[in-house]
Amino acid sequence: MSSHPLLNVRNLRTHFLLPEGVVKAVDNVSFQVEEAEIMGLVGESGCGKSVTALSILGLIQSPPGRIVSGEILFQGNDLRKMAPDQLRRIRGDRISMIFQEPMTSLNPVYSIGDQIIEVYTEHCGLSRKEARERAKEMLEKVQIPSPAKRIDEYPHQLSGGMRQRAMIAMALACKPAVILADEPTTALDVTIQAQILELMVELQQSTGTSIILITHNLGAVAEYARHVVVMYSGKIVEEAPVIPLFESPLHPYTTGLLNSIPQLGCKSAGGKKRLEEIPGMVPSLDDLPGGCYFHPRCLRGREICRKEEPELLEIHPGHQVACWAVREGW
Amino acid sequence: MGEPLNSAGEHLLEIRKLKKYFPIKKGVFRRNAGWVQAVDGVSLHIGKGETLGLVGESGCGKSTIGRCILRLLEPTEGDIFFEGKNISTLDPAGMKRFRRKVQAIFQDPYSSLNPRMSVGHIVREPLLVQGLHSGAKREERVEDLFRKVGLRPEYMPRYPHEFSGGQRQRIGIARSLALQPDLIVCDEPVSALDVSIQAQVINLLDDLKQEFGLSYLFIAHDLSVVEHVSDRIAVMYLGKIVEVAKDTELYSHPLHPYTRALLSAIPIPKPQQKKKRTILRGEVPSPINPPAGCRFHPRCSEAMEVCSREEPVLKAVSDHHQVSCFLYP
Repeated sequence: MSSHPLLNVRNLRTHFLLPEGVVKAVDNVSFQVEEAEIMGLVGESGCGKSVTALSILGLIQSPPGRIVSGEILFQGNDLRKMAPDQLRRIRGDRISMIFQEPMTSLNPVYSIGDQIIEVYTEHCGLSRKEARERAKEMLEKVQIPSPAKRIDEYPHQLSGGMRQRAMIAMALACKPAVILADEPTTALDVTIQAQILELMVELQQSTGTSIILITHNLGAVAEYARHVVVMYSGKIVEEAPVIPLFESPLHPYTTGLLNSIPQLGCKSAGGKKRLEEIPGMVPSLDDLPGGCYFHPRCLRGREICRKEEPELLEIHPGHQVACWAVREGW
Repeated sequence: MGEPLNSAGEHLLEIRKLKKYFPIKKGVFRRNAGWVQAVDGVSLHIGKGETLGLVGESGCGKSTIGRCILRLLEPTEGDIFFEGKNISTLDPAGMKRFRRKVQAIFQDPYSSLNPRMSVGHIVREPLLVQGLHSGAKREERVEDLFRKVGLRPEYMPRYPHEFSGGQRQRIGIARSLALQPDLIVCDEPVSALDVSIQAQVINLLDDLKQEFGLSYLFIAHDLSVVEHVSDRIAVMYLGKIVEVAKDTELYSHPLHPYTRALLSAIPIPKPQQKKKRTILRGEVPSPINPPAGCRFHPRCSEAMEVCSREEPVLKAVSDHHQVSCFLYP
């Protein structure tokens, strides 16, 4: 069993069939998540990172969405081949999710306690009384002050940070093997962001869970992830362990992203520099350019980039990139 | 009208002891049940051609200051002087002039453009309202503005929904430039944009500043963006300024414990440079009943006995650095 990676996504394609045409939100994406690791999945809005997460959980709304092909192997078993009730048992138990906006993803008419209790009664077969005890312990673990009182409060009575803590408590309730965290801190203030990320990492280390950290915040990924996947317009453009990805990125998109963010303290270090920008904008998914999707914005693009799509190629061990310029060495 | 003269004539904008309280209405008779102290005694100034960054977490009052400067809100107390004149006592002609000189760029490029107007008309409207230029000259000016912000003039007949977030923000910028203002209040101008588009808009704002000698009040919660664009930075916490310093000074020598925590909270995209982090306990308290003494003391790791009793005042520690904390007497 241990020869399998914990989660192995192979050639996943999730398409949306819309009146305007087929939108290839996720197009041939493969990656692996090992046990007890944090993987970063980065990209800008519309690059398919959230759809990837929803596909793993079987939460793609159909129609219009459909997983066209691919395998999602969790501990060696294909989630796509499972019966709905089998998948239900895994979802929320072995694999759980933390969403971006805790206000819209928590049910406003149930107290947060009820929502955590449900996880226990549903998945662990606990009685309500036992589940309530466990829920209280969980709230304490995510450092919600006076959990005995908070357990009966409703989502609107909590602040954004507290709601996100409640979400984390719910996601961790059954000690899942993998947590998909989709922009878990984006809606929060900077100081609260730091609190939540530290909390997630602390709990990750003590429980040995794996986390897929889906975000556009490169700083958070650099600090917490062990390996990183970069997506652009539904495809993986680069994948590498965290240090090479940030120290020697290969894909022009990754380099562009890293150079376009203002870095704290750079001004005092070397005078004011102009930010490097990536020209143009992310192409619309229903009107993708031919060849490499990034070529209209790429400064290193050549003839071939317009015609043929580059495949992911392993350049160094564990470091893959899909780019003609890197492959051909120009 | 017996206007007090601005003592420091070189400041384009000066805010003195600004307070803005919002009433909390309760019950059938909408009786006043208390006050939200959104801004509580803030003094700031912006020089000509200067960018002042204003940072703080949500609810700290930074946008309220911006709105008071734009006179979208009337201050509860305190005065705002623009070019030496108190903006709350301007006569109608003066007010019209003031509106031309001070413009705004808002956070959400989706809700700040009228969906029923073509983008050409959105940019043209300020010129119509102020009666500047006419006929062909006006059209030329609008086209020129489009080019300035990196959009093609052919786009003018289109409507806002046909544009991406970054392009909409450019349209908002073109509108704010139409009247050749001196000061632009930018309220979170890039926080709704994607990373690769943020850089484009920041660079555009920078170029326009150089070209037209603009001053900006740059309100944002992202310290790294603020550090990049600003000449001076003011840090706000619960309606008060806790520290003001030159951009590089604030980063290299942050003094206030809140500023230090804020700086350390930002993850940096350098995996090998693990930094030690001061995690702030708790959350920002409500501005309805802010803590007594220093408003930061319940979360401060260096709080002393005096902090809960007395309120610190903003004091200069050097030429370009002021801080409001008892650690620096």
